Amino acid sequence: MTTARNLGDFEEFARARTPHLHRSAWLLCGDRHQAEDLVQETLAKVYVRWHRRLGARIDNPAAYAQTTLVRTFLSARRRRSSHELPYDDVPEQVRPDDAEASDLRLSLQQALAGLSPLDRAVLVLRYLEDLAVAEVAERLEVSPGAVRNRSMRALDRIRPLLDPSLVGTRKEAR
Amino acid sequence: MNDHQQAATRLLDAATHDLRPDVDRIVAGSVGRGRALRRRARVGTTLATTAVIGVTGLAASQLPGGSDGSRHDAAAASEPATHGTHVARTLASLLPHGRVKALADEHARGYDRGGLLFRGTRVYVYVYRAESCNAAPLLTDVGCYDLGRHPTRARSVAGTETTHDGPRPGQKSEADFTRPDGWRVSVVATNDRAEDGPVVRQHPALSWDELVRIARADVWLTNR
Repeated sequence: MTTARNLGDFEEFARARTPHLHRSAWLLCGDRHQAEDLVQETLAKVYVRWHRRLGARIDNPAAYAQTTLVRTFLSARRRRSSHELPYDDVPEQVRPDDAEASDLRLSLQQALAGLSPLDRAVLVLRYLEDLAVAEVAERLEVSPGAVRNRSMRALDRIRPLLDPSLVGTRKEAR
Repeated sequence: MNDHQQAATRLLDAATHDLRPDVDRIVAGSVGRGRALRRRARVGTTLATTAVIGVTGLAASQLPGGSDGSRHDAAAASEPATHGTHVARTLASLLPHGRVKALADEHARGYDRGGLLFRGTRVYVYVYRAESCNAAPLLTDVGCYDLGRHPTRARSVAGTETTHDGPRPGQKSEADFTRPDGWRVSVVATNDRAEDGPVVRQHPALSWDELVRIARADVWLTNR
């Protein structure tokens, strides 16, 4: 049975982790609204595990949520068979990120657009999450060699944006 | 890490540090979707213990205007058929020609569901309010509507996912139709006989087009 205390604990955890998960999700999806949906779906899966009566508790909920986020993203991208059938109205369009999006974000969006979902996942885990190659490999269930190759490919893609002065400027703006 | 890798970390950090997600909405939606996932897991268990009856008996006992028709007052007439038995009856009337048997119905807070065995495989329908995040559809592509933020648009979505691999992979197809008035109908067809049961067909017995046609049928709004 879902107790109020359990629910309170989960909500507290979800509120604390949502901003961080959303950053990863934005880098994976390249769109704020899709990112919010991905985070919501991820937390829903964590909710199920959180309230499971049988089985072990989640040892590290933050890591569990992060791994769930990436796997949910990859799973959704693999399911290419889905299609949308418009009816009566123009289908809902994905809005480009709002006007407040920085130039840097737009440039990064464009740079990441050509990467495969798995390359993006490696980029997020390796460089945003700052995980070691072996840990990324374990979370994504691929070999360490594959992680290195994909990391290099992703780095090549964003290399033009790695201008130290640009990054430095953005950091100063924080 | 070398300089490039450190620069990459700084770049990703700088590009995302000022994103401001709607935390309240995300958390509230995740709780609703989480509850729906748990509930659907229980529904699967229920379906495993299906009571099988002939479609003839089902139709004969539950045709519109039957003995239970008087229970519905005029005020409710504009709402869709949401009680499980009505959902199953309506579904039976919309299926193409084929062998049909009944499945157990599920009537829970937030959504209603009716199911049938059609040509030996499961077909079931959810009818619910679009703003009810408690009843998020099965396919992740179909999002949870928040009517406070988005106007409800009529649209339909269909998709198929592989539920498990093997010599005969399990498949689940779904069509989801959101009505302009905020009601939503999701039709799901699988290629197995029961949850965790044997796969009996290569693909679900209904195509996407057939699923969409069923989901968009006006009878969901009138057959009470």
